[in-house]
Amino acid sequence: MIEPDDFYNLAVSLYKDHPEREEYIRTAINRAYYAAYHEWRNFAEFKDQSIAQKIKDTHKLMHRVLLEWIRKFDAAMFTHIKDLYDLRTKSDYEIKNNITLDDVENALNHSKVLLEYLKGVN
Amino acid sequence: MMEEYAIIQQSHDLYDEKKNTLPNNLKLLNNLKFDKDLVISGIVISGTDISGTTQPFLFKLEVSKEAEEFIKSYNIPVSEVIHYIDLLIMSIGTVKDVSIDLCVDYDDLDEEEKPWENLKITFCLQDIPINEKTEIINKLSRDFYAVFPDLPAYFVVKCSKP
Repeated sequence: MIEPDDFYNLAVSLYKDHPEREEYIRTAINRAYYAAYHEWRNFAEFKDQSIAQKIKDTHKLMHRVLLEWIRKFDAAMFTHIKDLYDLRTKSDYEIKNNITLDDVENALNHSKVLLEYLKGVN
Repeated sequence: MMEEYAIIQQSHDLYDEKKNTLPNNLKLLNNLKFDKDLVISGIVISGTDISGTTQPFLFKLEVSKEAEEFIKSYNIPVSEVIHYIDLLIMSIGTVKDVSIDLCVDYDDLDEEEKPWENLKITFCLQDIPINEKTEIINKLSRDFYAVFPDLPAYFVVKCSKP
């Protein structure tokens, strides 16, 4: 079984090994987001059991439900995950918009901050 | 309510060090009203960059109509929010441009669901190390939510690359 950190490490490898390949850096942004998403979802469900049911009931809105929960928990972490979410949306759905190295570096930094924050909390 | 906004464009002499101080500019900024498009521009702010050098630069703040309407929908005076963002941004130093927009997410929506809306506050900084960038984002976000806890917002730094 893999851990959310494995997604983050994969994201770093994809970027470091192939910074010139757009398909790699887009995938790196996507993995960076899901590393943070899964770790924070585990944390949210541990802290607030109702969130698990809410995410299940509103499957299509699961990102929004979790991100709203994070906003109430810590505004700074919301800022990080919302920008990361936007970058992930851009990299996954906006193929015609250029993805820059700034984008992937920002995504990796947001993911790292979000993961490290939880290591401090646990 | 737009009539209350007067068109104001002011600037200081870039080379007049006596006038062009951060406190002076902050005072100026606090006394400003916004034009009908909610744009402040042409104001020279002194800031200290990462090397400790004080340097003047142009500051511009823009608020989109959508963002303005969004703030109003929470029954919060738009000018209050903008003034507070001014103060927050000014407190961190060499910021050039600030834009306040509405970010609308339609992704993963059921038909009956409303889009997800958040105020997106984007600003430009001189090149700074990544850890300082993170600290700035954290501070701005927490300070903003301490004053406007119900207004969904987030900060994005667009750092220029050399």
